[in-house]
Amino acid sequence: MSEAKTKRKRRPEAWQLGEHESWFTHMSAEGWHLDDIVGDKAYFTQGEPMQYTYRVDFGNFTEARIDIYAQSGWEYVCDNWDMGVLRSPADANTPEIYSDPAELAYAMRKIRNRTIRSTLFLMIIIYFLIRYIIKNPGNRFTLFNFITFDLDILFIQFISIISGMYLMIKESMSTARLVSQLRKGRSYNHEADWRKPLRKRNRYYIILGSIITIYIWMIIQVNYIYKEVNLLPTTKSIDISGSSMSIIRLADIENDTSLIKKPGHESRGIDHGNSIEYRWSPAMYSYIVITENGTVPERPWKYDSFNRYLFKDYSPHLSVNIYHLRFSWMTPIIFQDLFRKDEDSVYHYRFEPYDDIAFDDLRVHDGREYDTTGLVIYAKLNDYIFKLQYTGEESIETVLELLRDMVESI
Amino acid sequence: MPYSGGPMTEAMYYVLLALMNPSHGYKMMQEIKTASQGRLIMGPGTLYGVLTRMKKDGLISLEEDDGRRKVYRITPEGRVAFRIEYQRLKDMLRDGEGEGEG
Repeated sequence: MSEAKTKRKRRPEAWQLGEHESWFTHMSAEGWHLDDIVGDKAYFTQGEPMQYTYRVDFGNFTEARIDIYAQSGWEYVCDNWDMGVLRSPADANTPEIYSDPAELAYAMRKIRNRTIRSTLFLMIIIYFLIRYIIKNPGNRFTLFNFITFDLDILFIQFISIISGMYLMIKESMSTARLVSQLRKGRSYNHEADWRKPLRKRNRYYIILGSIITIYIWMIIQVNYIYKEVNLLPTTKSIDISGSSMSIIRLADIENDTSLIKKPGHESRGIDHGNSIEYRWSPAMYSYIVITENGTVPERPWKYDSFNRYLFKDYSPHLSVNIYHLRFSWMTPIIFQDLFRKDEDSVYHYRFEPYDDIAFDDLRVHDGREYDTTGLVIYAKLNDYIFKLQYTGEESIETVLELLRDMVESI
Repeated sequence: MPYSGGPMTEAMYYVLLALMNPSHGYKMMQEIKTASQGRLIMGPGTLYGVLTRMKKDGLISLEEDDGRRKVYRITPEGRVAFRIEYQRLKDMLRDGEGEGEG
């Protein structure tokens, strides 16, 4: 015996009772009989085309209840959470399940209350989450984390949460409206058109899926192009003396001809101790990270530093992050969040505002004389944010002078 | 809408009436149809809802339960509530006498 064919389809929204009923009737007439409802899907099994009248109902489907229904001509089909489905041959003239719509309203109150409760619960959680993020400037950065490529997944989560929230609010309001209509004694239309609501619901999921797919595709494409064209490889190794780039370099700061490259961790042919990394995200035109490590053989350290215990010879480190943001309103927020996040970190950076007409905002932390945190500079100019971290022995002025030159060239 | 002593719904009134003698679901529907002279055809959903709620309110009780078939009967409280409602409806009829027929 061959197995009966089954079909799975997305059903109308939970509160569209008449749409459910007319849809099931239509499917049965086509030879697809409702089998089960799981989540937002309905399962059908193929059989002889039949003319059925379907009704949905709510509450617990106990044996006694199913029995009463059966005796009055309503065959129990299935139930899911609280919604149950019953059917009766269309020509049997079976009396309506509810002779009084208010009674159906009473049966629906549980599902209505649960929907409203869970919507409010989720809203409260989201409210406190957003409040927490906004009240703590250091954490606000998390909200904008999707600006970097590897955390773009946050943006997708954000879209999903917002759309889920929208659906829940819509469900609560529509269910409440239906219950209050029934309570006034007005029934709903058992022959409601199911085509439009189903099309609308499917379209919603197609649009949501497309947004996410296009977004992922865009990111992959852009990164792929970077790699293929070889103009902007995502990450590549660099030489210590390549000061032809307009970006501030370790060799420029040190100004010591004996400085040589100090290779770092290597993987896939890239020296991660001396590299330039290009990233892309919809929120940024570009995001560049440059990392450099050098050493001067036989030169002793002037200051006490953590590196001194690791390396006998003077070994400065430089990393530069350049964020070019697409939206200028974001720049001050992200600028603040970036340095405040560092202040909150285990290193306890203390950034002092620094007057410099070359920048909109400049913050400097210099821990070189008393701990191992080195020199950290945050600078903002128009849509650019620069972060510079340096653990060598050159003065703040030397570094700032070079930073100014770099900004000018950009 | 638990019962708080006010006017009853039509369904409640007829279910109480049908339960003057112990009865079960389908039989009740038939009895109500007969008692109302075919005017009231109670749906199984309405009946089930009314039974559940009146049992909770103590107006009726479960006499027999073999899982599938449940036999209900009216409680003394239910009889009192029915009598009050009957009197109320009678008073209403009396008050409207002469006008209603016209």
